[in-house]
Amino acid sequence: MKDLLRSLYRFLSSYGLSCVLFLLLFLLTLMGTLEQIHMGIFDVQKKYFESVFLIHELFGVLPIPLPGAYLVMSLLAVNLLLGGLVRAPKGPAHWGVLLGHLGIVVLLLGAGIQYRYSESGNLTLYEGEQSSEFESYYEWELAIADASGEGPFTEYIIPGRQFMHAGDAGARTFRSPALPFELCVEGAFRNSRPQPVKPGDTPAGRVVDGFTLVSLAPDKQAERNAAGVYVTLRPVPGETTEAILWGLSSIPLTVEINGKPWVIDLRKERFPMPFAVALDKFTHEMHPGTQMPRKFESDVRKIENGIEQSVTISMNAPLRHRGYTLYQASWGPPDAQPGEPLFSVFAVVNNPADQFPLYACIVISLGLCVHFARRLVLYLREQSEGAAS
Amino acid sequence: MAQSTYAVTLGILMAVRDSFCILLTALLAALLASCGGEGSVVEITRTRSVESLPKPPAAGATSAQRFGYERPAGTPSPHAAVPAAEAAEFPFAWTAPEGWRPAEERPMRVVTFAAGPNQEAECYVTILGQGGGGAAANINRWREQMGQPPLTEAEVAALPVIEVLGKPSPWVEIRGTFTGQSGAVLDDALLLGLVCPVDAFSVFVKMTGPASVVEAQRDAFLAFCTSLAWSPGANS
Repeated sequence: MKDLLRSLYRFLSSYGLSCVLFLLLFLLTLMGTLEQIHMGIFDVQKKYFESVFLIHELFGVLPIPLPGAYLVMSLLAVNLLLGGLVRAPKGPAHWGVLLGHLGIVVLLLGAGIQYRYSESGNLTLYEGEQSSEFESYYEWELAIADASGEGPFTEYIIPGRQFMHAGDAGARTFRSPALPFELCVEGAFRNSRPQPVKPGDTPAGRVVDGFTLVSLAPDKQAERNAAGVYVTLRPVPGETTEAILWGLSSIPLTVEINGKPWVIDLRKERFPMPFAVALDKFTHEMHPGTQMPRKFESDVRKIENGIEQSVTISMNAPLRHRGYTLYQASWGPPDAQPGEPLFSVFAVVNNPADQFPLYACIVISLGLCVHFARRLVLYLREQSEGAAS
Repeated sequence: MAQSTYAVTLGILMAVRDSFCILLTALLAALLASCGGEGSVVEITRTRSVESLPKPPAAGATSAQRFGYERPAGTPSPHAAVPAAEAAEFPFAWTAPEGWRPAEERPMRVVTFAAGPNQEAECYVTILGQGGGGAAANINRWREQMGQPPLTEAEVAALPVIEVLGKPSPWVEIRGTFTGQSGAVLDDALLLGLVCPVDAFSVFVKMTGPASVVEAQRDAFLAFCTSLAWSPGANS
């Protein structure tokens, strides 16, 4: 057993493993980049960089099994920790290299934290509007709420990862002691559109209230996909209700159960922020004589616990507050007529490790300075000793 | 020489061994991940308190209304350009042609559709108060968007007319290079447009996209325009 652990330790801390891992990272980066000819960046990221295992189709015909970058980078962190810090020589001559390795471990740790805990999405506001939540670009959620009364309302949230994998064949039932019904998702489509069924049509999928969900190929721009699901509500007691929920519906499904109106909506996943942002004014300027934007910026108010602070968010000046960063991303509508109200779009990122790359760079720079300064001193000493002798 | 060959061979063998171990680890991890899935019955654990619901309830709304194929009578679009109270005076309905897909709601628009094999063409309806600046001004703005010189009042008056909502409405077709306000440029584009003056308001129906796609949608666009009709209960 001891020998086995020693072998494992030697393997995990070996230079050979480092070389193979770096080679694999190079290959994954190359393949992931080339694959973007055929796939959108979101799908490429999921397949090559956020996976533990994947099969790459070389030239579209030859399947090659590969470890995903998530696994490769995890192993690289372990390899660096064991080989570059624990097993490496510790004398003053090696302090610079040790610091360099420590910096790379910090960088990998930051990437891991970002992958696991960060949230990102966008916040769209018209002038005069405010919001304390932003929505995901890609992920979906089902929100259920009792719509009776004036509010506040409690929304029961089912994250998309719990039902979007269902495809058109799976089924999953969701329940809560607070809900008077169970909700069964019996088919989910990542990109779809509801199509009316006319008499005489024989659609491939289920027909509910004169409509069927047509599955579409995922869009290369993943944020343009419109998810759709078949759901069945099973109240106890009461009659079941079947419905189609579609991500682009402007009107939610409203069902009366036990005398109360319940709203069920399929929408992009929403993330709450600990503060609100109100858009006071959006301005944009074009380069003279062109339709190319020269600059665009938003005057916003950050509202937290009743305290307001005015901030201008522009292309290179984001708003950073409590771990959230709001970047000026875009605006629209793209074909707005003169005089139409415009909206401002902010990219919002909540990344607990957003400063890790900075810390890593500082540690690595320090390590390199220590290492090369020592080499310089040694060189100069050798030169002076040579000259003296 | 023999020693260096031995070292290279050993290095390659070790790299193969490491790659095999990594691949095996990946397979094991993938296997473990696939075994750890949730069951078919799941408890809802996440809740959120909100002051207002993002989309208000609509009891009795049909699937056709929820998906934008029909508009509930008397329900103004939340982003209509005309104030809600006044827009409610114009409860008109429409029939979406086959293959048109309701698109995301946009401000100032009553409804937006995507059309064409890959949804490359966009069609939308807007209502503007105070006549929206008049037919000539709006048609010339469309021409400017397509990189074409403006028409004179006489030329606008000579445009073909079709009857929509009981009113003779100028119909335009403009070919050229479409430039959106964001700077997005579409060469060889076609714009089909219709301006329908209704008392103090104007209803605009517009389709833009690649010329070949819009050309193929011409009949559908015309059918959509002529399908606009007052809903029961309207004050026409």
